[in-house]
Amino acid sequence: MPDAEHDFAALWDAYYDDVLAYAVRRVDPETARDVAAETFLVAWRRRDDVPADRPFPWLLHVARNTLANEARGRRRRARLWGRLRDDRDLTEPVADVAAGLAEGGRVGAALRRLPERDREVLRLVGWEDLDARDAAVVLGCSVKTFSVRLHRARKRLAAVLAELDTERVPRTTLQRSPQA
Amino acid sequence: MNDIQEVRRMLAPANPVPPGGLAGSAQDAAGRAAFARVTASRPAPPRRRTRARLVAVGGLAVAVAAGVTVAQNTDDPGRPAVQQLSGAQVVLVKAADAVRTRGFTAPRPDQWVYVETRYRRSGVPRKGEVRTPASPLTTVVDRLWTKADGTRLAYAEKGRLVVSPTGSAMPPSDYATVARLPRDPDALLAWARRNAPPKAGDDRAFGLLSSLLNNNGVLPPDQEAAVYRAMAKIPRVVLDRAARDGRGRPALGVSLVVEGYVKQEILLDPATYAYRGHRATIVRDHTFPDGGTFRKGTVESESMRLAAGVVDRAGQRP
Repeated sequence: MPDAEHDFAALWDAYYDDVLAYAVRRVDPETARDVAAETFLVAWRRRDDVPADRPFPWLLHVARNTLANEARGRRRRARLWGRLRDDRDLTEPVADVAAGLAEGGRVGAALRRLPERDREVLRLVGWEDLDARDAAVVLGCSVKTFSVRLHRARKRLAAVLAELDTERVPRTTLQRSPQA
Repeated sequence: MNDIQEVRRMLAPANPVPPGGLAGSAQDAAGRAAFARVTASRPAPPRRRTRARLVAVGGLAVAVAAGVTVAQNTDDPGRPAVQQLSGAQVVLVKAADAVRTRGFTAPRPDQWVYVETRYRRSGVPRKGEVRTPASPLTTVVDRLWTKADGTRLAYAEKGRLVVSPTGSAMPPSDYATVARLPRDPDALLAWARRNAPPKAGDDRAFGLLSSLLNNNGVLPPDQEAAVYRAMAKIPRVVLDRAARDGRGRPALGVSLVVEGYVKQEILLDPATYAYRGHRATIVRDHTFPDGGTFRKGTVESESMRLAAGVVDRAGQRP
């Protein structure tokens, strides 16, 4: 096994789980496996471009692009089959939000009301645990730009959460069908 | 307030996959299958340039096809390269001719290509580890169904059939894509060299063609013949008439030493010239930059094709 393959095996062992988790947080598990494999295929073909010191944000940058391509392809093929988690969630009844939710559901609902741009900024920090420097690599922007976007996204998230809280009281008193 | 800390605190309860929630996925059956597919796609480039030699490939191949022994220069006087080179090429040309004598029916797009392969691997030596010819090998049997139209891949996991979308791979491992590759040996070799990383040269072109054979249970006959004829055009490819396949049966080994320490070999049936599998053997002690070591004689990996054919549904055996 040549050195480069050895290095690639080490990269796989160290980051595959986390790249897959990134994808699973955004699409269905089946597509996520595909996205993770596609990401590492790019890493395999562009081994010389993978930064040795910080490979993870680079991999997520690739995964993000793969996901975008995947989403475009799917939309073309079958108009919102509902397989992309974000799309499906947008069509889910808001009733769930109102029905006395756990904190996770409440924050999830708030996230879904934000524009995708804000959502991804928040998720990279909140779910992937990246710092501003790494998250900026994923999004392909400067650290400064990222910090500004993060600050704004956090404020908008707080605003949507407050909005949800005011909606909760009247809605829980309504008898709503599950499809409402 | 610190945005980072605050966002982490707010989003943590909504995280669909908490940190570490998918630990082990890199090594489970699906992960291993994905790894195999990705790395089969194109071997890694060498860090160091291997010795370059100039051989008049085109003229040589013509002479071999005509049954003429050709002398050529070699910078390795200890090796009877002339005999071996022409021997390898004769075997490859015979293998190419033999392909056409076998019956063949192309799979329909809705059918599946089944391939069952037994792999034995030494595993990668990690820092401080040494793999020797005495190191135990791990045996894995892969059973893969690939839909002929290239849209689906299926494999058995814990007795259950898992169907997943196929990722793109290099070399391709679905019939529809493979059938579109060049069937002219020169064009196919050019394709293999193009798809090997820059500077990797023929080491990688040979590996790519070898993977093409290994990953595809069913190839169009012209295609398979072109693979052997393209290999015959790669300099330094040698024949071992005393090779053994993964079961210890006599086989013809056609190989190329890559990066100066790994012999990449395809194994052919000595009577029918059918493809039987591959072996990668360490031919010189090698230590990786991070400290893992392979000793000469260690088998890094070998495969043996157990079954291959066309079936109507995923999960069926030919």
